[in-house]
Amino acid sequence: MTAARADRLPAGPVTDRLWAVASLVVLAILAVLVTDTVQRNWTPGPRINVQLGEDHYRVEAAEAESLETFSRAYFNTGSEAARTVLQRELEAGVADTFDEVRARLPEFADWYYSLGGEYSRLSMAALARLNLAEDGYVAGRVAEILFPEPAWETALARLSAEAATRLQAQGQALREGWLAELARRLEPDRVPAPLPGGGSTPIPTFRPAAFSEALQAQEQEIFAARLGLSTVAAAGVAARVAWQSAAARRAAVMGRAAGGRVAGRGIGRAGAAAGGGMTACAAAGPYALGCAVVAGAVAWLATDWVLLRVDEALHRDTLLAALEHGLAEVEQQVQVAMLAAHDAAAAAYREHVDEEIAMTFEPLRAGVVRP
Amino acid sequence: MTGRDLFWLVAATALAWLFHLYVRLLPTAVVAGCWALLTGAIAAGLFRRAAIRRRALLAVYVAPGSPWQMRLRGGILMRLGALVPAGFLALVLALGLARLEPSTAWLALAVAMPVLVGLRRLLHRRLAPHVAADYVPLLSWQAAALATGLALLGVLVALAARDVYPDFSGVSLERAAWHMVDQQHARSALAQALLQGMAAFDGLRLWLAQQLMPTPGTSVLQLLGWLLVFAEGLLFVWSYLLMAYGVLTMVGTHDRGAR
Repeated sequence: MTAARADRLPAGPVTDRLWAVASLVVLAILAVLVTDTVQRNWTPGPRINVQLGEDHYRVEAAEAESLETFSRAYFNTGSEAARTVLQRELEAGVADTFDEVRARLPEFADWYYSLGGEYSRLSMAALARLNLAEDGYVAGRVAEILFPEPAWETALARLSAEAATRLQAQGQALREGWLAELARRLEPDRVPAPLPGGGSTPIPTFRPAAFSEALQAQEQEIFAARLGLSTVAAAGVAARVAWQSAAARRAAVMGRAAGGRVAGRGIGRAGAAAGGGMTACAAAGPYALGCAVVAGAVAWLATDWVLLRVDEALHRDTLLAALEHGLAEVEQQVQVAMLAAHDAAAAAYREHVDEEIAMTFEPLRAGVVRP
Repeated sequence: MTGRDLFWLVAATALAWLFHLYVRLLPTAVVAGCWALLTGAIAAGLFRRAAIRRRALLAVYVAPGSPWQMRLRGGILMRLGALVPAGFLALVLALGLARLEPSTAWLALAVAMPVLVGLRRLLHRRLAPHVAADYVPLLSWQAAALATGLALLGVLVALAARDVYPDFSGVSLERAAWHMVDQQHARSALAQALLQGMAAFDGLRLWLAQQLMPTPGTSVLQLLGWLLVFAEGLLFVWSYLLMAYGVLTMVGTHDRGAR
């Protein structure tokens, strides 16, 4: 292209000036626009800051819902798993406690088949019949011997305390597991920590550690309040239940034999006392009456002792088996009661978790920072 | 045709500003299209420049009637040779345009166009009696572009010196770079990745500047830091002027020069 060819172009200076004017107009418009307009920024949507310890994450607001769902599911699943473990441990603990009770059964049988036991039972039964004493003397003795205070209540209190401790440990493990899983899920959304001295982030911030602390603050109170001693675990109630169950079973097993044995024992005692007294004191002269009374009493006691030994030899095992059955029934009731207490505590805990989750996530989803 | 040249250059600046304005909202396909357009413009300019030089070479070394005049005038290879650096420079330019924040810088870019055209016109007149006719348009452009580019570079570096930067004096390099990267968002994943890459480089530069240059004016590293800023600006201005040259080549007014 040469200057001569360019000079031949038909456009000429007028057209050129028009182009120049148009250019200056466009330039002026551009200058105004450039001064007043800022770059259009793109953000993927409302964001939520998540702060886990020193680590910061940023997630879309919509993801808060999935975090909420995950949190609810995690705590519910964790609670169910914890219940299974705790049930097993609770059953083992109650079984251990009742093994100690069972170890005292021979002591009770010894008392039951002793002369003192026999006469105190008869005396208290007679007084109860005359309304001079309350029923349930044997049940009382069962409570004294099998469920002695404070050993029994201490053992149950220890069980409750251990259950509460275990629940708290499980709660802590749940919280720690939740935080770890949360960190794992949030890892792709990790962002740098704000610069020191920088302005506060104007977007809602979720602090799982604070959430976890809020859960922990209520745990102890919930578990301690819900896992108190159950009614059935009280020594008196447990003994009554055990003895009633044992008596019912014993009666079912022995049937008429029990009644016949008591009647036979009475007839035997009377016959032996009268015959023994008269025979031994016939030659005692003026002291024959006193001698006969003493001899009769001795014969009475001796007969009772012999009959008790016979009764023991014949029925001690039956009595022990019946008591074992009664204890098993009480053991099961204690287990059920304690598990129910645990379930109540777990339900209260889950309710608390749900409340905390709702209180935490709803404002986040709404884009409001929780104070 | 000074007025027409000016119009196309101002229009190109306006389009570049629109690209800057909406680049973070554009989908990847459109971003890639813009990059291809810039590549095409720069490649056209580079090819044109190479062709002029080749023509001058052939005029000196090859006989006018020789078939080698045709064979060596520049074809596919020359176009590819222009396309590869053009792609890289277009990328630099696109990223620079996307990140050019202060409105003053944009005013400088816009004002540079009439300055460039006016200067070229003046130089063309002055050089015409002394330089070969075929080479006058290119030489006048190069001289005008050099002067305008240096002025533009000075303005951009001065604006960079006046800019306010985050304080990285108390943080690690990783956190500084991460912080800068985290500020970049774009709808297009490709654009976002590129912008974040440049932001990471900014973070590195600023962190180095604040960690290793505690006494301004006395450190060699400070000089190196500013050289980095200078080099980045130089590359941007060079790409921009090449794009302008390519635009004039594409619209066909270029080689007529300004009489």
